[in-house]
Amino acid sequence: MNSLAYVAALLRVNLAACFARPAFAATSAAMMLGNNLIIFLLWVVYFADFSNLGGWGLRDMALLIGVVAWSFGLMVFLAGGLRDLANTIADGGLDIYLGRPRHPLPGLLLSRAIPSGLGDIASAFLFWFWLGGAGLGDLPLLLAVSTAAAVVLGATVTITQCLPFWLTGSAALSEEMFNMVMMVVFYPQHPYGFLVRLALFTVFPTAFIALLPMEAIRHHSLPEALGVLAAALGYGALAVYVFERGLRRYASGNRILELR
Amino acid sequence: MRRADIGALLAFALLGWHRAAADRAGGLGRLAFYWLILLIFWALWRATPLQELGRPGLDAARLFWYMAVTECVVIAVGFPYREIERAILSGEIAAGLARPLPYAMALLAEWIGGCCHRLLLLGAGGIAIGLWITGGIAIPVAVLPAMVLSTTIATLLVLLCHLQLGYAAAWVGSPAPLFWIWQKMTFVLGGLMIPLALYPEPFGSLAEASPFAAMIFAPASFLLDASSPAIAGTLGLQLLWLIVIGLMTWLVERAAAARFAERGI
Repeated sequence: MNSLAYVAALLRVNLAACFARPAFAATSAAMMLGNNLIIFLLWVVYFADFSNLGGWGLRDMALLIGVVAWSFGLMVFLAGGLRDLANTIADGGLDIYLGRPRHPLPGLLLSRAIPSGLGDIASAFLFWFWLGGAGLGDLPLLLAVSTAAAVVLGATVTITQCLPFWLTGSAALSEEMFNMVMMVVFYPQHPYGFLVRLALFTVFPTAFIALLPMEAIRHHSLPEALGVLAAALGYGALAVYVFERGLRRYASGNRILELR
Repeated sequence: MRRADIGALLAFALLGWHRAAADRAGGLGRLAFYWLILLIFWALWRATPLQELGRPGLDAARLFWYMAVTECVVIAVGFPYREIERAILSGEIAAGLARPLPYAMALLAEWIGGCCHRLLLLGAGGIAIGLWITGGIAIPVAVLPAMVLSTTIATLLVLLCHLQLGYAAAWVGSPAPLFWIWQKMTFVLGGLMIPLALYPEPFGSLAEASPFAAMIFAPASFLLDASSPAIAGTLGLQLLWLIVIGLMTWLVERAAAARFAERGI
């Protein structure tokens, strides 16, 4: 079985497990959609009081939430195992994956599908076309940059979830870092100064998940879209590298590493 | 309640405090998260044309301190409902239910202990970063006692809601979808980001009367209106919601216990 067939097989099994409880899956998705619409209300209130936010209006906010919802939804629906990675490492759960004749990372990431991700994916279309005023002609660009943003998001979360390889008792910290990433990407980043932007384009690459995709969409800019795609490749490779480096430490003993 | 029960509850509260103190990485993570949110909103409020409001006293610094208070409550509490969810789904709750002290009360006491530690940590961190960024403290000293009391009631209200959300696992399996909706309602109707006084009417008045405002907006509202009638009204409404939500939590806990007894865990 080649690698693509292996990934396809993992996805097939995950989807089957995800829809084993169809009512729960549908409820989760619907509630996530409602959740995103409620959060948008905050911006409706904001723009009822103010004409703009550094040049952005309500439609820009809708486009941004759509991009982030698509990225997050795609990530958790296809690679829901990401959310458990730190705990799996800390609990010594990697052993199961290390015994397989494949690289353990795809198996770990694709170990489950979170059905609420479907609600995020569905809400992206509402935000883009209904609330954001995008046209059907914008769809290829929206999908391309948002999917690339999903890869950057997944890679960033993978790197933060690898912390328990090096830092004892850091599973909770990994969770906080995940929350931080999600917090930053859900808000406009264009008002920040140079130093903050520098951090967002390097060590804390949320600019590639929200700021740059939004600039590419707002200006229909090919270089900025290509920048997001390049970031997806770069951070994807970095995540694999960090995981493999961590894995070398894991070989020294898993529970001992966490409990020492 | 017997003296032994009170002693046991205090012991649980102390346990919560010690656990929060021992979780240094988690505590630092929360503090970093708190600072990050405040920095984000500092940038956003500075980019906002606040003069369009026509309210001279309401500047970026005041809105920064407003958010420092609302976010402090939200972040200090965290996601404790997951603890009950895990206990129910794994069956561990059976051991808790067999104890002489009611499981919900013991857990609530432990959560309160943990929250006290985190509120102090975040409060100190919030004041430090606020001083650094805005160059002063926009909280009048006279309202501090009322603000501390209001923050305590607000935290208790949020914790009671988490108890209910955790117990919901007895019926729905995973209460996460319910939590998301509840959380976003607290963000919007609680005025987490934008003070409810700035909401369009009648939405603003409805939100102010809701329990969500008692959880988030109430302690921070003293930064906008520090008059005695406003403070008394806010604290009165919070106490009223504390009674109502406390009663609801007791009913949910009883219903869950009855369900466990009837169907097993």
